[in-house]
Amino acid sequence: MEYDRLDFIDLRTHDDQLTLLKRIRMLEDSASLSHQVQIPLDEKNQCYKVSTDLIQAIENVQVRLCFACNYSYLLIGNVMGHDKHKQGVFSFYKLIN
Amino acid sequence: MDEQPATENAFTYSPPTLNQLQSDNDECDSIEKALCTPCEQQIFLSTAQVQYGLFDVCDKYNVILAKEDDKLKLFNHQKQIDERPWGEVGRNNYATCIHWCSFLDIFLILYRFKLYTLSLKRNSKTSELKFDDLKMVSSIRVYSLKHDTTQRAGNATELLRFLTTSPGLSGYLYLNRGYRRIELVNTNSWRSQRGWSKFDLDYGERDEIRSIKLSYEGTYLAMNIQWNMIVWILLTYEHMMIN
Repeated sequence: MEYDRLDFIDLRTHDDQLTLLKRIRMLEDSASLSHQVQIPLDEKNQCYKVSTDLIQAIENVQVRLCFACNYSYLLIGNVMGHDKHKQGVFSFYKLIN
Repeated sequence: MDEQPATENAFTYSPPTLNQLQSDNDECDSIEKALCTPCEQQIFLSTAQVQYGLFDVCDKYNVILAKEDDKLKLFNHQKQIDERPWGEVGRNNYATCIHWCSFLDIFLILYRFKLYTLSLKRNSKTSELKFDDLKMVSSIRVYSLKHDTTQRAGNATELLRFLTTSPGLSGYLYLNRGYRRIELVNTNSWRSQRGWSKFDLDYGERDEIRSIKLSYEGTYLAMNIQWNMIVWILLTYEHMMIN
């Protein structure tokens, strides 16, 4: 017997039951983008390929992110270098409207 | 984003070497390609701990709060501007989540066993932002979920994992306890107003509720779910002989 893992994002309404609004399946490579993502309910946001049905992350890149400058920039925290020479870096990316 | 010249200060860290940059080109290219936009500004950090995601942005003051090693560090969009010890918060009491709360005008710093608030202040002469008080919220503490509506045989302490607030839901925060319980906490009284076990939300014993995030309007809560399914593997006689 083994365990298999599925990752998804549940959108739940702010109400007495936290009613399930929508379930979005995540691709395997998308887990690293899960933290602090503000999920839009429309499909206009193209910068990290989020739609209401699918989240497709930047493949094989371990990053942490959040919005900055009133949602006009994306702040990404990631690690550069390898082995003993790893170094963290904050990078600002302007969002395309 | 306002461009300011990056000046040397006591908190400046060296950028990576050319060789390191070249080895990371693929990763940077992947990010830029996915975002369809080039990187405009970078701040190099002293450690690789950013990989744990312990940072958040405050747009009101245009600063970033991050935890590195045993310090809390404050950055503007160009460089580090302040640092302080992350607090005498007890053995194994690691930070688990950093969150800017706009309606309280403070950072919320969640540790495994406690919740702290961290305020900022501006130097009246230089107008530079600095750390102010780090205060513990005494009423938010860990407890065993044996007291939960969901009865469990075990008596394990359920660590504090994630929290989230929204400008559109003033006076409340959502708290994730032990990847298995969500609570709505009133930030005026710092008391839990309502709670849901993962079973209340139709998840199973092996499933975990991970990061939680309120929408900007505060109308819905996004929850990362790890759904662990049991997979039965039947080994045939031929497979066993091969392995």
